[in-house]
Amino acid sequence: MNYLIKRFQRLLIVLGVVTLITFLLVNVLPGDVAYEIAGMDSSEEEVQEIREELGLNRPVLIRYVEWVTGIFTGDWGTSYISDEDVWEAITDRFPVSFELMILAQILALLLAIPAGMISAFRPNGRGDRIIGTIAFASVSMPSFMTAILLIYFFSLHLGWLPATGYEPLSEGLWQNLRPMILPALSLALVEWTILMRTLRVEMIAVLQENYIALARAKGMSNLRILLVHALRPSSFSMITLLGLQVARLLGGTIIIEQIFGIPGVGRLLIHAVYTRDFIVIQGCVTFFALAFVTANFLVDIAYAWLDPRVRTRGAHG
Amino acid sequence: MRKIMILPAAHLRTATATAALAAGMALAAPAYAQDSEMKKGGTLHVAIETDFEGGDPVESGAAGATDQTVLMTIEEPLLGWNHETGQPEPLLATEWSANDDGTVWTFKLREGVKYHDGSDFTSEDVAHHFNRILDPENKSRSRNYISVVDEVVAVDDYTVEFHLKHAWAALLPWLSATQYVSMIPSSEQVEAGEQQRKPIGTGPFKLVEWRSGDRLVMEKNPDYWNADEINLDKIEFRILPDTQTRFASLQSGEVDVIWSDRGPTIIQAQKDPDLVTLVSEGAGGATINLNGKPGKQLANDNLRFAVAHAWNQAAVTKISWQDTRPNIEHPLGGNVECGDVNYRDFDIAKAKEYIQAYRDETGDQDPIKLVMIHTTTPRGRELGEIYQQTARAAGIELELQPVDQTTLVKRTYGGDFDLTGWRIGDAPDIGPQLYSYTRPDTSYNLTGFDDDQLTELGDKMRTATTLEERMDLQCQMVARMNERARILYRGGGRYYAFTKTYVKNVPEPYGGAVNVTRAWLDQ
Amino acid sequence: MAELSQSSGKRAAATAPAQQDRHAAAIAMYRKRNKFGLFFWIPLVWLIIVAIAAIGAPFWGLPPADEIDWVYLQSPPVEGHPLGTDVLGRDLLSRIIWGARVSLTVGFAAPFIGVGAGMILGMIAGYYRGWADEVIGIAIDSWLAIPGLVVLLLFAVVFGGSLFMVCFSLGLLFIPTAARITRAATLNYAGREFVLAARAMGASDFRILTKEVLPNIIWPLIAFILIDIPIAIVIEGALSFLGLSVKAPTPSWGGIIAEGREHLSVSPHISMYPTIVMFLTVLSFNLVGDAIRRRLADVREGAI
Repeated sequence: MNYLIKRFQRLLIVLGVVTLITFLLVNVLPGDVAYEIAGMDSSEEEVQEIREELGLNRPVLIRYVEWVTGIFTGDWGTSYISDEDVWEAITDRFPVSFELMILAQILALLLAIPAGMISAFRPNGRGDRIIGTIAFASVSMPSFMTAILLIYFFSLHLGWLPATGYEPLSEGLWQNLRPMILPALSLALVEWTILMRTLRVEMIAVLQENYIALARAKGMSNLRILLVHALRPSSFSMITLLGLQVARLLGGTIIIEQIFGIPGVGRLLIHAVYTRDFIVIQGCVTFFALAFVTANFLVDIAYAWLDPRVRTRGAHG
Repeated sequence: MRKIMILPAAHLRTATATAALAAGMALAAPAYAQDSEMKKGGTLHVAIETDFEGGDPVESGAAGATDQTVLMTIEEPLLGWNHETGQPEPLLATEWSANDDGTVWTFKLREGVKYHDGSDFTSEDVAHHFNRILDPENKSRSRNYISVVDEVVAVDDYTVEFHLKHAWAALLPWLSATQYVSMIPSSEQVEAGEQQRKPIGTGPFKLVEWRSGDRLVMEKNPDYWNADEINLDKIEFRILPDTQTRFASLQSGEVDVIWSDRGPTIIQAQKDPDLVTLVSEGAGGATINLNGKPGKQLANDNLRFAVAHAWNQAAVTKISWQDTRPNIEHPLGGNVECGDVNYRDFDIAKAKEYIQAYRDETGDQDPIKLVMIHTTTPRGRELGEIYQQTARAAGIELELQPVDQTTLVKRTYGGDFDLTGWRIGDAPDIGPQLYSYTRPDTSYNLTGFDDDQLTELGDKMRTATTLEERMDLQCQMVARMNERARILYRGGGRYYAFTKTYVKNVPEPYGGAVNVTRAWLDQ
Repeated sequence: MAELSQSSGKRAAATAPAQQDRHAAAIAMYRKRNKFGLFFWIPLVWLIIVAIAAIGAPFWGLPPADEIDWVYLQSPPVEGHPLGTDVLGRDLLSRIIWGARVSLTVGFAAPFIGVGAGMILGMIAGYYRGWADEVIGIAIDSWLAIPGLVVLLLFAVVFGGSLFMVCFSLGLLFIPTAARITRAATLNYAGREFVLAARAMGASDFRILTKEVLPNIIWPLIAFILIDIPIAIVIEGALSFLGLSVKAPTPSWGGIIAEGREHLSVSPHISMYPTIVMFLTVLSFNLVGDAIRRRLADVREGAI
């Protein structure tokens, strides 16, 4: 328990540091939201007026304290540009990004599990080498190029899947999934290799265990051994990794969201950076950090629960 | 000798001049050819570049193409504009007249018009809207456009008077525009502070859902005063910021209407048999501003002239716009013919002569190095890269500094540049912009214009009594501006929109905004 | 990932498939694995070609990468332009070769900056423990919690356009993992006999860290650099694609791809050539890096 409390303290400190760093970083950005609001038909005088009105002239630290106080009362502020409530803006878009992430990880798993099993079955055998090479080829293609090629081929050339767009789940499951397939695939083609390698390493170890030898001795087929006996005990690291990837990648889908026109948090964030809408930037970064830190914390709890030794060790890393 | 020639031909003198002012602007056009085969129903999907800014005219700034396109479905202006005749037409106002010196205009409003919430549209709404923008306390960014208006008075429920500071020819074009300043919102909703996120107007469609960053969904307003003209059941605006994404969505059929200002996309779309191209000419234009304020290297006339002659507008319109935009010599619009406006052509030999003159004059023999800021977008990069090459041929080294849009605006306002990629915005009348850009005593003057002749022309233009005189003076102004070489042009205003072939009855994108309210689907 | 691949190497080497002649098979396998195969040599040759082309870029008699050839705008391969020209009529071969300089510089500099800084932080944290460990731990956790692209985006907007800033900001992203690997390894060695002995002999902390600890922990870090090189190249490509990397008119692969994107249907060559070159280079770095990593793992095992 002590260990978890310590982890929790760390979590809070980290959040404080993250918000302060981003607040300071965002404040050294050249130009501020007043220029964005003023546009190209104004003048420096008008910009100053807008800045005055928005209270952007006050010291950074005072604004930071105000913002933090707001967060504690559940007020994430409103966007300077759109007057939208920041918390609503994020929670509206978050499910979209989250769904994309989950789909990408599912596709990645569908590729990683069979590939990992084949690789682990005969390490350094022909199958392993071929899969290893394919995996390297797959990560070597930048995802933005994969995305463009996928659109070109599947949407414009074959016309099988829509090039862009997002439909809410209320429009029906298939309607909702269809436009998500290509973007999820673009992400999965990079992600699966990491999962595959993790699974491969673990499974090679598991296949050395005595009970596997026993199963073999009993004349069980290789496929059955792999699927029934080896897969489950080999997937712990992979599942952990999976959870962390989702949290990590939430901020990393910006280009994919941009290319496929998906209204996710990444797009909200990039737009906010370009328009210096720093309340929104701040909100997004805090939200990502919160997601990341929480995912880590949950993994810690899970480990502590599974493995009593961790509870007493109390170190990080 | 300068002459104004206006297209299309109009009958009345004043109407002619007004047409020139309004040519190619974003003005609401209510009159459409009624097609006998017109089909009712269906949902139209329109791709927009950015999210809608909101419906409150004071909270929002200048309406871009996206804002105008969305706004047109929800709200309406007092007048419509017939782009064929160059005349205003009745819309929310049915009749209008002016007093003898043109300082008081009286408008009769259409009766029986209701807002989306069921309340009546009256003169109070009109007066409230304009007076709110005019109130300096509110710091509306739309105020500049109509600052000639002194106040707006509601005489009775359906009569409203505009009191002007002086006769102003641009009043009717402004009242028929689709800018925030022209569209009449519900005063109740504005007072409730809800108009920005839940706009209410008298328009043919109601906003039923707004998922910010994703889409806006409009449903047909069954109580619309002119419901017969409306065919669609629903309009969905999808927010797709990336040009390529927008075009791919149009090709694969996720959306039915897009607009684009990227040359390659336009060329490709024009070739596509499944798409209809809509084009309209505009005023204003993309520019390069030279910072010739005192203390800057470009304050030297000869050097500035050299830089102007080293600029190859045709190269940019060819490479970057792929000839989808015209080369311009002035920003008054393609329909305005000013004759010779002293435009400084691309001429490396001349540029070198001026550089020699600059060296002789100042004794400066060092290599000439200037800083050019441009955006990090493909268009910005191409601009910088092309200019760098042609300037190098003349012996001027441009250091390119790509920055994002906000930084560009900041540095341009702050005078932290030698050259910057800028623009002159499209508007029903470019006069106010010419005036404020060229006066030595305003902060709108970003390039250091300080020329007595130009200031005098500006003053005369502003107080000109007839529109013809005003246009002639504007022509003289742009000619003098070209002579002083502080603003160079890099392509004029021309707007392109594309629809699928089954989308009918969408007019040309005047001022860039696409009016989809009367569209119907042939499916 | 470094740790995982490492241990995979170890385990695989110690393991032989369950077959009749296990020893023979294991030895054969070991030999086979120890030899650098075609998957090593072919990519290596490609990388050498790219590197020589990039380093010697000014000497190949190519047209300057920013020079516009007004006669051939957006041209497919013609005489004088073996790969054709881009939309501004600039020689594509020249742009790709000059662009390789950017990609390779970032590819090497960023991981070295990141791993260098991460190593120092990790050694301090692992050796001194206590509050230093705590502070560094918090800093690293915080850094990890901010999405990488946000950091890059903010840096690009603030400092915009210099190659050094691109390397530096990308390098920052590699710090956390490097620091964690170093810290874990340092922790492991800091308690070993030879370190205790050195300390007993009055060696300074600096000496212990550089002479005793560093040689032992350097191998996983080298392996980590090998993994990071292709990643850095891909991320630089993504930044260029967003227009946030080096400034115009300096060419970079991601930038050329982005420029060609809107001409994909008319002039696919503009995007395709840099894509192919980038793909082959990143793939080669991956394959060569992997082969070297396996070799390193074997060497270390042999030494123990």
